[in-house]
Amino acid sequence: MQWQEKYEGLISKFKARDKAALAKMISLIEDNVVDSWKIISKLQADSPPKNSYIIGITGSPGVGKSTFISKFVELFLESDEKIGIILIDPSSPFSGGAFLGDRIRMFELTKSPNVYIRSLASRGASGGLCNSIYDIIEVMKSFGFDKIIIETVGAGQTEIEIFYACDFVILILSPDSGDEVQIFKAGIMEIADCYVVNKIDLPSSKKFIVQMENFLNSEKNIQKKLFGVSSLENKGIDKIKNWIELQQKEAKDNAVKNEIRKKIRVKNFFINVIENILINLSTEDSDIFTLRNEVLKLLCKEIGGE
Amino acid sequence: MSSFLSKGGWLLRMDKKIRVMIAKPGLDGHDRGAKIIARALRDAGMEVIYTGIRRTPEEIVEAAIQEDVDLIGLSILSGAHNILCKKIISLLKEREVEMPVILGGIIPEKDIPELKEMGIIEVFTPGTSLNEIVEKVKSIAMARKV
Repeated sequence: MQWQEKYEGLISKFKARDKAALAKMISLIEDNVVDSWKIISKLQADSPPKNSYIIGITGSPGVGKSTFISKFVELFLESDEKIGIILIDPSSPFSGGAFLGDRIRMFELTKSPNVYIRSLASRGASGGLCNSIYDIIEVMKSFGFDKIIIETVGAGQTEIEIFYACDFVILILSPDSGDEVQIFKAGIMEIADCYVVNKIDLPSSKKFIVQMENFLNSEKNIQKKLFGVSSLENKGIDKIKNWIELQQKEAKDNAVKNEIRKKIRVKNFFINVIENILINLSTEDSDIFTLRNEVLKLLCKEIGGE
Repeated sequence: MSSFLSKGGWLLRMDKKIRVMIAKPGLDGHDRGAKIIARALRDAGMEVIYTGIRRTPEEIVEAAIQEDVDLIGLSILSGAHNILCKKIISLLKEREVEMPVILGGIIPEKDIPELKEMGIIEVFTPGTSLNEIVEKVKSIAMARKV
């Protein structure tokens, strides 16, 4: 079945805010990378996007991102706010499969009428998200969420694409994240708008929080906040909620980030086309220059057609 | 492994992937088997959502709908399979969702006909090879995908 046909079958239910239709619309985007922009422009005409606030949650594997989200979102359940959650876990480079296990920590949220949760695999992307993420965010905006929360894969120092995709980034740290030298390193430590030290029930947390405070005090940018929480014991998370609410109220349209997002989407599109070319290209007899010219030729042929 | 790599697995391939949910309804807490199945399906190139233990039928059905999976695999060792499966199948019907459901676990032979009658497509008992399970899951899920 073509995407047009599937789309027509979904759109009326999608506009009626049916989560099953949203789920299928996301699959349609994920499975039709080449046509995804066409689907989205049609969708935005049929169901105008809301100006959702996009919050990114990142941090190393096992620091407690998913558990934090479960407790964080619980705080919004009493309000009317509609919250969409995207959870990303890595795809295998060997089989292409994935074990998506973030949802386990937040199953209690599954039945909340105002919450939608979707697990995604990174499908080869290396920035901590998946390549369809920008398109999927557009779909979620059209569905009308007030907040969209995105959890990255367990992130390393350079997996910082969340910075571009989101309006507000929370970096979750655990007290055993290493000594002060790690805090001063570039990359993921720089991109956060707010630092959350999770697991403050552990005895090692006091020293780590002091180190983090020193680090933030030495920075010029004092807008960044530090929070100590224990997701397990549900301590300190309400303070973050209040802080984020304040940020959302004061948020302005970020022209620089919007520009970057557009460019990344175009970049991802081209990478995708080039990779499809590379897969079918035999490299046996050609040197690297011939290969380059060959790819360029095929690229012009493929894109020039439109 | 090498065949996947040489076919372009190292690239950002975005093939239509099979998505399955491995779920444990009811009160038994033994999920070694469910995890092994989930890993075997992952190694066969599928995206597997694992629910963790002690989920209610309502939670499983709602999660499967939100995740838009192509198949639900239930793992039940508690003996409550008839009741739990009936509930899950009827919830899926209620929500007008067509989603194949398979079952694995300690299931007495005499219960299998009734389970299949209510709509469970396959029942896997102890001793079934992982290979057989992977192949069956693939063919059932692909039938829905097209």
